[in-house]
Amino acid sequence: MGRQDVIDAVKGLPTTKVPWVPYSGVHSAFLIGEPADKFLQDPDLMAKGVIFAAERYKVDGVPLLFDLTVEAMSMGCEHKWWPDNPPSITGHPLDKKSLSESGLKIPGPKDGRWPVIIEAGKKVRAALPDTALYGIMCGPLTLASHLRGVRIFTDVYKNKVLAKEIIDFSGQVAAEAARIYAEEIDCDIIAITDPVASQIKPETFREFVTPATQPAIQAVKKAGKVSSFFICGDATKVLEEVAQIGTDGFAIDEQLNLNYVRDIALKHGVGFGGNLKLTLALSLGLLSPREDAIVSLAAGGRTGYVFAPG
Amino acid sequence: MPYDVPAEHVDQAISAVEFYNTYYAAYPHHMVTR
Repeated sequence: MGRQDVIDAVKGLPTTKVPWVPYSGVHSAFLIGEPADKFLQDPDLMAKGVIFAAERYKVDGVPLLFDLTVEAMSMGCEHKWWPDNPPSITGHPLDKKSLSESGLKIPGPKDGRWPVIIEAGKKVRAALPDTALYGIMCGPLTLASHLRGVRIFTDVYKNKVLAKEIIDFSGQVAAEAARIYAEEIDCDIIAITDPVASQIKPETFREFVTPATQPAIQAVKKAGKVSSFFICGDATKVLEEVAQIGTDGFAIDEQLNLNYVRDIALKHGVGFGGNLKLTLALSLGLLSPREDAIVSLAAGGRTGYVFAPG
Repeated sequence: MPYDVPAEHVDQAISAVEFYNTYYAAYPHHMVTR
C-alpha cells in the first residue's frame, strides 16, 4: 500500500495517487466482533482489529487507535468505558484544584494505558510495513478540557494565567505522547488532535493553542517523523491558524468546504486531509458516500491531499 | 463544483454536482480576504 504516498501528502507534496486513510478507531473492534472497551485494553485484540481494518478497507494509512482519553486516563482522570465507543472522561482533577495541588505528572511509556498501546503498536507496525501508521494523540486544548472541565473555555477569556498554565502543561503531556508514538512505536504520522480548538476565536487559538502545540511538533521533528494537526467541527474561522501552526499538514471535519481547505493548505504549502461525511454518509447513511467521495477527491486533487473521513 | 478533476473522471464529478450543491458546505468567500 501507499505508505510513502501518505507521508508525502501530509507534507504537502504531490502524489501519484490520492492516498486513503480511514480513521477506523473502535470500528476496528466492531469488525472483529469485540466490544470497544475490551479491544482498547488488550494489545492482541487491538492489533488484530487494526490489521483487519487495514486489509478490509485497502488502506494506505491507518491509525493505531483514535481515542483522545489515553493521556487523561494515564494521569488518573475518572472515566467510563463503553462497549461501542471510546471511553469518556467523567472527572476533572483541576476543576477545584490548582496544577501544583493536584500533583499531576506527565505520564510516560510505563504509565496508565501506554504499555498496552505500545505493545499493540509494535505488533501493528511489524505486520503492516507498507502502510503508514498514524499515532493520534490528544491536543493541548482538548486535554486541558479533560483536566479542567468546560470551565477552560471561559478561563481563556476570564482567567488567562490559569488557562495558560493548564494548556501549556497539556502541551508538555502531548509532547511526551508524540515522542512515544514517534520513537517507541515508530508511527509515520503523528496527529496532534485538538477537536475542541474549533470552538475558540482565532486570536484565542493563536494565544493558547499555537504555543502549547510547539513541544509536540518539536518532538515529532526530533524523531524525524511527520506531523499533522486534526481539528473537528466547523473550523472555518480558525483554519488560517491551523494551517500556520507548524505541523506538516492538517485534517478537518465534514462540516468544512474542502475547496476552501485546499486553497488554504496550498497557500501555506502544507498537506490537508478530509472530508468524507463521517456522520451523515458513513455512519447514518443519510447521504450517498459515493457522491461524497467523488466531491472530496475532485476538490482535493493530487497535491498534498489525503482522502479520509472528516 | 471543485476544479481539480482528472479528465477521465469528469463524468463522475458531473454526476455529483447535485450532491455538492445540495449538501456541501458553502465556500466561505467572506474568509478569503483575511
